Amino acid sequence: MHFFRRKLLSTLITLFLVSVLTFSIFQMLPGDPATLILGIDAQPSQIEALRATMDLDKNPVVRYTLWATKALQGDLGVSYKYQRPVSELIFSSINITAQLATLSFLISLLIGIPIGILLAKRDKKRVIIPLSMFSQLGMAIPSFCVAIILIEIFSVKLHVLPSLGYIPIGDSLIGNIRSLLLPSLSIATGGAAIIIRFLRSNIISEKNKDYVRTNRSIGLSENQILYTHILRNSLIPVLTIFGILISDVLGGSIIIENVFSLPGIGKLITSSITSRDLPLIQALVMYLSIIVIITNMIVDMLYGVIDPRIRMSGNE
Amino acid sequence: MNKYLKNRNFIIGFIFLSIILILAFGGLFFKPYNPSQIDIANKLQGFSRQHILGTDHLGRDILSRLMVGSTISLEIGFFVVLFGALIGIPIGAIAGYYGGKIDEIIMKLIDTLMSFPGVLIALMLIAVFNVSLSIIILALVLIALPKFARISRSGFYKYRESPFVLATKARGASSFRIMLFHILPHLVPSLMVTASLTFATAIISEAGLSYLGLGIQPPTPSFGKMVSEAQSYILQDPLYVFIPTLAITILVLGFNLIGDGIQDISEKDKNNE
Amino acid sequence: MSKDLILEINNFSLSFIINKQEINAVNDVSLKVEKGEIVGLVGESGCGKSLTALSIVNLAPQNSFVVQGEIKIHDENVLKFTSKQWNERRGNDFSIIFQEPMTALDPLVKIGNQIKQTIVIHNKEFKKDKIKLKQMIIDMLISVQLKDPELIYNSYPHQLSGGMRQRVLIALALINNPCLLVADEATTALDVSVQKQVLNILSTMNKDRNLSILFISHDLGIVKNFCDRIYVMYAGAIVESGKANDLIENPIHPYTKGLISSIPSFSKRGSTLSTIKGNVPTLLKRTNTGCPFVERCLISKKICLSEKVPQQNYNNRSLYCHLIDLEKSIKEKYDE
Repeated sequence: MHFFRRKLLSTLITLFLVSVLTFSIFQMLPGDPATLILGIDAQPSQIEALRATMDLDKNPVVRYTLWATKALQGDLGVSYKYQRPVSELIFSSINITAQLATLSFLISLLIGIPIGILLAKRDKKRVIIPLSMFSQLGMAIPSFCVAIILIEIFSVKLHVLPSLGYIPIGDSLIGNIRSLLLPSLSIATGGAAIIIRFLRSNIISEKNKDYVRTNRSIGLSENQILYTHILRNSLIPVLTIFGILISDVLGGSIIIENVFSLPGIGKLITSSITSRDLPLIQALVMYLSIIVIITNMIVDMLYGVIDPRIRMSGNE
Repeated sequence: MNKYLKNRNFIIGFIFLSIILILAFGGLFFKPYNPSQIDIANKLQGFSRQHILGTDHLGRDILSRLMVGSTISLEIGFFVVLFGALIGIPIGAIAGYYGGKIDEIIMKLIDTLMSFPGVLIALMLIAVFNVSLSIIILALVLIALPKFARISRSGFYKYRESPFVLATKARGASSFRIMLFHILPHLVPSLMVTASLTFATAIISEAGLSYLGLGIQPPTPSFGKMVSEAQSYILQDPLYVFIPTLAITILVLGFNLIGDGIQDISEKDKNNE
Repeated sequence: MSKDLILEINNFSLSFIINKQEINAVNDVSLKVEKGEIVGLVGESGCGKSLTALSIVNLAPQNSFVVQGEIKIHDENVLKFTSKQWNERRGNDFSIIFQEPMTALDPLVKIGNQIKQTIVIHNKEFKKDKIKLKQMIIDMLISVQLKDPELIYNSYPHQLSGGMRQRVLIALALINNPCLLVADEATTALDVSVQKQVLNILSTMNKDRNLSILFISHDLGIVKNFCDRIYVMYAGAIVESGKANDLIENPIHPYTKGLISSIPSFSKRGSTLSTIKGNVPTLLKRTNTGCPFVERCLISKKICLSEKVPQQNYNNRSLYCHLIDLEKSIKEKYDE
């Protein structure tokens, strides 16, 4: 179908541009990378040899092509610090980040959608003020501050959830969820707040549309109209912010993994920056961006699946 | 101006922002203590007459550190919004006004920039160029710029074929004139909303980086760093972590509410037209 | 009370609350629609005819409220309905169609399913009988003269033209066989040729199903041939009513006269069209003392400014004009 092909093509272009951008930024490194790795005391011959293995003696276009070809084959280079292939390091920690991101995403939907609907209905006056304050605060408090507040409440005061460390699913499912609950709640607060605001304003503006009047005129009750017509129309635009949410969730997990000492991608990235492990950073940046780009593509396609107008616009 | 004073969001936001502004500007002229002066003997004191907000784990005066931290946050936010707008708005204007291929190419590049998670751009630049105030600002500008560009593009796109623009064009006005004097004024409210939300995002991002130790470097105090230092003393002195958290929240909430306020008002204006 | 009376509006007034001020929009309107009758309600835009129509189905804007009067459908005062009663009756006993067909359907739901929902909420017993349901819908789509009903059944609104959508909306409104259809400027947004077809459909429905129609329009040209009786409305009040042909050919009220002389027609070709000077006064500028038309009336007298106009019957017409007495007395004098 035309629509899907166009999306796929557009995604491939974005991927290409992101890789060029990432590659170029790492080329702007002040000083000579080989000297940087080996130290200033190294023999010129040693540096020359390393330069050759790093392809530093070739021109940038050739180097990009070589780098990209290798990356496509799954070879993302070797970490300076760990002396292990970068792909290995990524795959050993992606599991945690993926779990954390998924859980955070689900929690933000689970909190955001019902509250968004409730606020848009405007009929339960008593809960509206605290809930809209919650959504304002959720947008304003940085995730790591939420994390510390949650630690203070659930770990320090109530002693019910751990404040750090990760328990793999294999060891204990409940332990695993317990170890991820506070981190994902911390990340989810911001996302939930965004969903609440967005969904609420969508529903309110959707309520003024002509088709709602038609539905009233044929005898549907307000709730029937909300749940069988308005909600679907208002949730579709929410899909468009899924891309932003995924990006937020990944960005959030970089910080939150450090708060809770979870050995995921986020922890890997900050430790690689401290040790200036450039191949690792480069690969991680690429990797996370690809995830965001691919989810964006999936979201766009879902958008087409759900909204007939968009899906069919390509055929006209 | 009257309509701003009638808007609850705007007023509350302005009050919140004023609290931090007073801290920051007050700090420029008067600080109770040197914010970096270590006094281990008096560490982790609660509120007292000598130290209104207490002292941190090294005995430094928290109020003085908060004052400097506010200045830094506001400074960063200001420059990020300034440069983000100065670069983003013209880019979006060109894309939206001319449309066609230029629009497609510019927006593809903007989308590319947007597909990096924000923190990641910052981390990447910090990794390559090392931490410094200008690198942090540059990174945050790269995050802010696409937002300005998109809002500006959609505005210019919307107005470029509106009757008053066509009429001005027919009178022989140059494209530059039309964009600057005839379209841009219509976009001021939505750009102001973007500016105020971008200010908020920049502050949160900077705090996050400083929290990770990859932002403002010690001994300069910053909100994020204060939170991360206080975190280890959560058992002894829970208030210590609460103060910088509150400061960030008030500041960000202030800008968010001001943004909401401007949005409310411009929507109302539109409905009254 | 006549058994054949479907809709009866008595002394109905509606006001808005704008900036804490009460502003009257519909003033003391009375009208009747009998079984199988097509009644026109005409006037310029802003005269309150749509508000009256919306009030019949309780869809008037939220910041409006009923000041006085009653709206009876089948002798039941609908203004006393609970929201549950409204939901049971709307789309079942009486329906409404609107001006703007382009946006009046949920863009995400197929036509067939939108109509299906309308049947099922009023007739739970059909819920299980999928085949019967579909047959009912297809039949309805055929009777609103849609070609290829199977295709329409499975289409989304954006795949249909404005005229097709308006037919779908008629189908939606009439699927449960209501006794009254309120058509609020239902043909205004359509092309002239499509307009004719839609009128044709409504006319067929009126004959075949004995459907009563309250047809709201600003276009006297259409109303003349389509309606049995006409009410003319101005600035929230009814000024004249009577049999359609008679009223159009022999208007009495100065406003009706003005309206009719501003209809372009073939016979008037070449001569300049007369229009009524000025505009309908905005809601804020209305006073309910005297005749609402006084400002624009060419023959107004002092009495028109100060005294409320009584309803009068004259030559099978119901009229609201002070000057009718004058005209009557002149005529009487001449006849003597």
